[in-house]
Amino acid sequence: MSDETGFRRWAEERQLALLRTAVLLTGDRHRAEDLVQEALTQVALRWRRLADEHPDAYARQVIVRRNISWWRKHRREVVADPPERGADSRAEAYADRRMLLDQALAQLTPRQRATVVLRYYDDLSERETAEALGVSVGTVKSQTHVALRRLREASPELADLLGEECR
Amino acid sequence: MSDQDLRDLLHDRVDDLTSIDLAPGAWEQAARRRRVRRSLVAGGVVLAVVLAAVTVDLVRLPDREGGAPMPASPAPTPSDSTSSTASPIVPDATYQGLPVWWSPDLDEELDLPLVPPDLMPSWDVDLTAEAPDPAAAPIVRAVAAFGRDHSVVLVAPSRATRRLPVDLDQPETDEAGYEVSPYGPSMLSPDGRHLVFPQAGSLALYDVARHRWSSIDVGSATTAYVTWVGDDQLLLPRLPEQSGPLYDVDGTRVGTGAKPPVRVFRLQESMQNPIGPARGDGEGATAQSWGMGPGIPVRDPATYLSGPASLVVTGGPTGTSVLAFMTAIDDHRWMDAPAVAGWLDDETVVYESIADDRDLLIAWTVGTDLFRKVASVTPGWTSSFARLG
Repeated sequence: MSDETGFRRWAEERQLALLRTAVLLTGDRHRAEDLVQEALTQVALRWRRLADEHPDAYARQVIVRRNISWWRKHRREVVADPPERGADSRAEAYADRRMLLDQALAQLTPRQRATVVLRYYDDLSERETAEALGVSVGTVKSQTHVALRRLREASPELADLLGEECR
Repeated sequence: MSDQDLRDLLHDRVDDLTSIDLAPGAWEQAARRRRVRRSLVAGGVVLAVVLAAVTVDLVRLPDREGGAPMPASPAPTPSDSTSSTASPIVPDATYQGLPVWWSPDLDEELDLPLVPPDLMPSWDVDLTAEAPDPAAAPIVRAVAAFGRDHSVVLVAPSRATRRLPVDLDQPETDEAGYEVSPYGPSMLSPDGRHLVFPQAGSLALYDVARHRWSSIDVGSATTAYVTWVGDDQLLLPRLPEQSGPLYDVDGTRVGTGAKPPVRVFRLQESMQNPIGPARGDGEGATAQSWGMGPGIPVRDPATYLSGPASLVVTGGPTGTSVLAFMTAIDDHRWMDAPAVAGWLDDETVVYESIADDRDLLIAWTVGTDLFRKVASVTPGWTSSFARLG
């Protein structure tokens, strides 16, 4: 199997999962696609070395770190008013829940957000999360703690909504 | 909210996402970067040898008319190639109190050095060459689009090309009754993710990433002058008031809009017509090209057309700067060029120089005589550019 064939097989299999992670990290589909494209390119550049190792982990690392760099560069430009809430109803619960999640995640710093997404969406261990972020395990622990507290504080309605659905 | 609740919520948030195939574009881009790296390494070796022997001025134009040669600026080295190495210099002339720089003429353009690849990889695009359909090899967005006959060639940020077949059969007409070409400088959205084509009573839209065509019914509004407002809205201005209906890219009518005011500087009120759109660098500077302007000095009045077309940059850190386009009397530089294509960074504007035998994108470091070639494209196609930087 040629390098290109091997890379394409891996990429076709994994790009959707990477895109989902990137959307959760950024909250922006277009930027998520750009990040995934760049991550795939970086993997392709190193395919011979990565093919037998951990291309997923490397791609995830590129996405997470580039997103944090992007945020540092553009944070002054991010000005958004929270969208207005619609009327409460069972039918709107699904949309409400998504909106509340987006709003709550937007309250986190990119590193906290990455910690939450990698730990609770990608199910990475603390060590794997630390490697993706390029920080210590202790930092992951503390960031996770702070992030979860901020999520709850940012959106008590979200916790309530989940509680109602679980009943 | 338990940990499991959070897990479920995150999965639920993105479970319905679908993906486009980014793998072919990524592999192409990686291959291209490898080639650039190889050429940089080779170029670095050659440059080191040359620098050891002589002092070379890679960027300055030939001596100005009858004057002493301009002092040489240090030649760029591979390590600092991302930044401009042009030192602040005295302008070539002044006009109405403004500094004027002279552009390379058509012959000199061909010998310009390439822009450093880490500022922007240069292109050499043969628009007639075979290129895959974006349906077969998707790209996320384009930095440039070139239209002619029944196809548009898209250039991806990786410089890979795609050929999009265009089949439109409801041409719009202008006030004089002439058919309006579906291709124009506002064809590509500023973020490079959509193409728009004017049709009679509708706009044809193409989503680059999703390879999806759609149509927006606009009733009796004229589509001849459709233009993008931001990345996601389309304005259908009527002339001369420049206002008209405004649509979201998803087809929703969002009201009436007008072209945002653009701060441009016209050297001679009423004497010059704008060439192409004004383009801002996002940091406050705006560049606009203008048609021939009587009185603007040229390098050698015996050689070059007097009162040349010009490009005026306003609002930048160097104030207002004028670039006068040197056109030899027997040259065939197009009258509706050069237009501004965009900005590579907040000090480097790119213009499109078109003549019968070439279509070049040239970068000018504003307020200096540093010119570099960005791209060479097959002439005869209508171009449209997204944000370049």
